[in-house]
Amino acid sequence: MLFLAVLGTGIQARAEIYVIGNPDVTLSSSEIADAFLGEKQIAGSTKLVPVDNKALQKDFLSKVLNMDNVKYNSSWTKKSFRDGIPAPKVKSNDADVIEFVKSTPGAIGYVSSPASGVNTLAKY
Amino acid sequence: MTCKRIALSTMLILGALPVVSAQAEEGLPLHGFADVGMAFSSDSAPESFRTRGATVGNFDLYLTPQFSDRTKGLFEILFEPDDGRYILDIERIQVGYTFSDLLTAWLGRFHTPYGYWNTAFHHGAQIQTSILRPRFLDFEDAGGILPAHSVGFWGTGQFRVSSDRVVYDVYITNGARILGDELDPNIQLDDNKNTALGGQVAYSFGNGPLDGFRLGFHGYTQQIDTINAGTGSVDANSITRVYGFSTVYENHGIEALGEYYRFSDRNLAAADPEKALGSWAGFVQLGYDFLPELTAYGRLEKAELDQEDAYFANQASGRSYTRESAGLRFRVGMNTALKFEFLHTNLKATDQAGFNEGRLQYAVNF
Repeated sequence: MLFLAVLGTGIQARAEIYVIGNPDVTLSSSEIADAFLGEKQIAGSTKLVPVDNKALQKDFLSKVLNMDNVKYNSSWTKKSFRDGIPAPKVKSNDADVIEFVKSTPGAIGYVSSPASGVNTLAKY
Repeated sequence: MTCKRIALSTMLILGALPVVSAQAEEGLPLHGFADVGMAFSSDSAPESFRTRGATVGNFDLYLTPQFSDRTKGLFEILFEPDDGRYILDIERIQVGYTFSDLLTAWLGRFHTPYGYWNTAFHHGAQIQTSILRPRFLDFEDAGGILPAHSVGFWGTGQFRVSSDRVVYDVYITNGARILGDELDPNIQLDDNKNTALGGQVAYSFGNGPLDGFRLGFHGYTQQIDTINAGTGSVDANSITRVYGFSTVYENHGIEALGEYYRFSDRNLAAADPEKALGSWAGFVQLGYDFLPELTAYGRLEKAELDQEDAYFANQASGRSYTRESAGLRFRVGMNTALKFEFLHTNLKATDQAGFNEGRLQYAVNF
C-alpha cells in the first residue's frame, strides 16, 4: 500500500501538462507564459481568455511560469489594479477547462491529458 | 458631491449588471484594498495635535469590467479619512480600447504613469512593501509634489525583444493647477491651454543575470497656474519640465526600487521668464525576504526644491526634506500583510526639528 502511495506521488510529480486553446488560437511557448501573466492580450485578431485549472495550477505555475501561487496571485493583483485586466477565471478540473476552452473564442487552458476538439498548443 | 454620488451609483449598477458573456455567468468581481493600524509621531508642529493612537486607513474599491473583446473599463473609488471624517474620492474612471498588445488607448481619469510607484501601488497598501509612500510621491492632498492623477488620454503598450520586454506610456491631459496650495488635476475640462504632455519607456529584462531588472525613463511638461482660492484669479504661473528615471529589481527575494525626478521650471511672471530653476527629488528602497513571509526593508529619500520656483513655493508640501525609514513586512496570508515602520523626517526651510514616526499597519486586498 505504501509502495503504491509512493509510486502514485512519483507519477503525479512527473505528470505532463497540456496547454490547450480554442481552435482559433495559436501561440508559442513564450506567448503562453505571457498570456497567463496578462502580458499578452491579443493573438492575431483574437482576444485571449486564459483560464486556470485548480487541480493542476501548482504544477503549471512551477513548470511554465516558474513561480508559486503567492507570487502568481500578487502578480495578478498588481496587473489588474494597474492595467484593468481581470485575472483568469479558475475552473476546478480538466473537464471544466476543456468545456470552457471549446466554447469560448480565444480561450486557453491547461489539462493533464490530451483533449479532442481543441488545439494542443504545448506540452510540458 | 452630486457627481460623486452619480458615479458611485453607476459603479454599483455596473457591479450588479452582467457586462459580457463570461462575466454574465459569474458576475463582475469587486476588488479592493483596506488597512487599519496605529501610529505615533514626535512632530511638534502646531497643527499636528493628533500625534498617537489607532488609525483607520483607506478603503479602496475597484472594478475591471470588460464591455467587449476590446473595450474595457477601470473604475475606482476611495473612501479616505480627512480631518476626522471620511470623504469619497473618485480615483479612476477610465475606459479603454485595446487595439493590440502594442496599444491600449484609455480616456478618462487615471493614475499618471510616471516612474514605477505611482501606477504600480497607488492606494494598494497591501501590495506595496512599506506603509508610507515616498513623501514627494504622495498624493496631491497628502504631501506629494507631482500630479498623481490626470484627466485626458493615455496610450500604453508593450512588445518583446527576445526574452526582454519594452513597455511605454504616453499621455496628453488637462494641465494641473495649484488651488488652495495643493495640486488639482482639473477634472472638468481644462482651465486654460496648459495641456500636459508626458510619457515614459521602460525596458524589463526577462533572462540572464539581469532577470527581474527594469529600467525606465520618464518625463512630462505642462504649465501650472496658481489660482487664488478667494478671487479665482491667477496669482502665478510656471512652466514645469520634469524628467528622470526609475529602476526596479525583483528577484531572489530582493526588491530594490529607485526613482529620480529632475525639475527644470520657469516662472513666467518673473523678471527673467527664461531662467530655468533646477530642483530634484528621489528615493532608493531596498527590501529582502529573510523568510518567505518576512521582508525587512529600508528607504532613503530626499527632495531639494528651489523656493524661487513658484511651482514649489505655492504648494504647501513644496519644501525640501530628507527622510530615512526602515520596517518589517509579514505576509500573514495570501492577501494580508502586517507591517511595522519607523521613519525620521527633516523638513528644511522651517524652524522645526526633525521628527520621528512609528507605524503599524494591517493591510488586506480582496
